[in-house]
Amino acid sequence: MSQDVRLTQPTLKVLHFLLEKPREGRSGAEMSKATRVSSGTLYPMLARLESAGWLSSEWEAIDPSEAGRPRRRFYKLTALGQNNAHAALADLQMAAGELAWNI
Amino acid sequence: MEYLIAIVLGAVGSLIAAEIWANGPALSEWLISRAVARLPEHERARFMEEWLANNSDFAGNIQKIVHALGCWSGASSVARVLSQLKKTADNSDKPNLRNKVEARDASPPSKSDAEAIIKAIKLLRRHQQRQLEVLMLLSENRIRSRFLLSDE
Repeated sequence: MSQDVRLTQPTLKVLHFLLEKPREGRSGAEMSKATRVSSGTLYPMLARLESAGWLSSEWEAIDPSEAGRPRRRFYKLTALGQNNAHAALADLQMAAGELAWNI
Repeated sequence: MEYLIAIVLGAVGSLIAAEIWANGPALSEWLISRAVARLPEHERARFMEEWLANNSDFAGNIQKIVHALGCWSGASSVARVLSQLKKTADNSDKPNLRNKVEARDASPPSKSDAEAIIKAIKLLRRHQQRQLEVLMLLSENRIRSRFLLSDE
């Protein structure tokens, strides 16, 4: 729970996407399609965010043998993740505003 | 001649592309299994299921293969995060000295502990009694020799 989270552009995109519906779990495929972040970047990022306590994940509630496909893993923001994501995105907006003002 | 080579290369390229297209799902599953093999053993089942489920959510074969290639390229980073997490968890599980003392203090002494303590106290008492007797005897002898008193 003590890992540092690097707030790169793909991370901010994923956090922004998850903040749209923070109570809903999202699969990696959904995030990848919506944010256009490649799986090679997305999965390490999800692992880092989860180990830092920003995300929690759970299995889709289906029986794989009945459904005929593997279960999806759904990720959603924890309370800590929501607070930090809001703060990070607010900082970004403020920085963008200052930049626009200075130009 | 160049024209002929271009035709042959084009035909071979099309054949390879058709082969990849036909075996796209199998190829992407194979790539994911190779990616998962790069992860710590205890996490492989979870990521195999998760990544295969995500792979099936991509519609086209090319998207599936691109996704699987991403899994493969990102697997070493995921493995690094997971091993760091395990190391942190292992360290927090190790009891330090303070924890050991607290654990010792928290557990009540057993009957056998009490018996051992009483035995030690008895030994100490016997030892101290003997020391006291020796001291008293020495003092008595000194007084007798000083005042030239005889033994009773």
